[in-house]
Amino acid sequence: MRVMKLKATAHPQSTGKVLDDLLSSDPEELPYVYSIVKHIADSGGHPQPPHAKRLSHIGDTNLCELRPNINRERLLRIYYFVSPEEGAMILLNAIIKPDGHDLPARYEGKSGHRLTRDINESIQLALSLKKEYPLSKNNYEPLAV
Amino acid sequence: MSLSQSDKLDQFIKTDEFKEKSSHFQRMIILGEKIYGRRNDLGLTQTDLAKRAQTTQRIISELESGRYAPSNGIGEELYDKLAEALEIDRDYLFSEKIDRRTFELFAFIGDKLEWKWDIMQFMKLPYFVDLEFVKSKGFKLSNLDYQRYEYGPFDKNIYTYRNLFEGKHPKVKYSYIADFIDDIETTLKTLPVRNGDRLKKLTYETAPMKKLGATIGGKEGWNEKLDLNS
Repeated sequence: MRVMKLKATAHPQSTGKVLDDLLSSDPEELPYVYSIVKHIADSGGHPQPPHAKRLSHIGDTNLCELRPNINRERLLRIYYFVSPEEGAMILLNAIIKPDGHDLPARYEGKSGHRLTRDINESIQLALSLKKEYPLSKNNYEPLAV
Repeated sequence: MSLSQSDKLDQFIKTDEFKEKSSHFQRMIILGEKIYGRRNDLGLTQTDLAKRAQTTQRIISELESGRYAPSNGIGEELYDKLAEALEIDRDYLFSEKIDRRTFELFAFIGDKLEWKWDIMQFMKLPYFVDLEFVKSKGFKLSNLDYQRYEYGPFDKNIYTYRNLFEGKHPKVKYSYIADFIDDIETTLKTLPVRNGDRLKKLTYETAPMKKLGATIGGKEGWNEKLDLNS
């Protein structure tokens, strides 16, 4: 299955921008991230645990999330959906948040509320980008995996 | 002219170092899914599994995420303990030819046939499921690569899968094929699932076999790979 990503120039939280930033900050993490994307693409975009999941709870059963961890401490959440007619996985926006064995603790208290809010906002952005996708295909480019 | 960040990224992913690391991670990711899936079958937490395998939750977490890097033979011993803790043959973890989704597909078909199936059914039923998936969804459900053998479509890795199930009926939770159960059942309902000979004949009527000119008893296309997109 082909993979298309939202261009870096299209939105500050686009997958393209987040990957470009990773090249500067954590280039050694990119082979792992790409491997997760490739693996899920090779599986027809099906959100297989533990590397991907479907975000059914938000009322859109087609929106999914790739979940590669970065340096074993942070979780890169890449929101995507599958376009069967194009035979492609469409990577929308992405966000990097804490992860790891102490994850539940990090999501408690004031800072935890902020993390949860940021993630919810990212999901809303993903829904919006997904809705706009048919009219904004020029904002997407192939990701070579 | 200096390269944009996106151009640098495109260049980086073409390097040998990148490709080598990606290849390693691909294998580890598939292993991670198998551990995750089997732990899920048994209803164990990562901590439960770590205790059973005499290791740490962090290592289980790293294994499942595809980040674990074994060194100095420690990995071999750990994998033996893991296989025992996961109540499954070592091949399930070690063989790169086995992936979780295909394992679940075989378990599902086996369960449907009450585990009374022969090698003909074992091979042909996934073929028909894959054929239907390629036609309707654009991808194969299994990781099998079918070649034309005497008895129709065949992948020698079938023996590795069969060894996991022969005489054993592992309890499996279908987390990787859960979304596809209805599709699989619909395909199976159209087939004489308990009649190996008829299944074999039916494979010769499929487009990939016809494309090779394959006929029962004929040698056309022997050992050639079947193109499921035919």
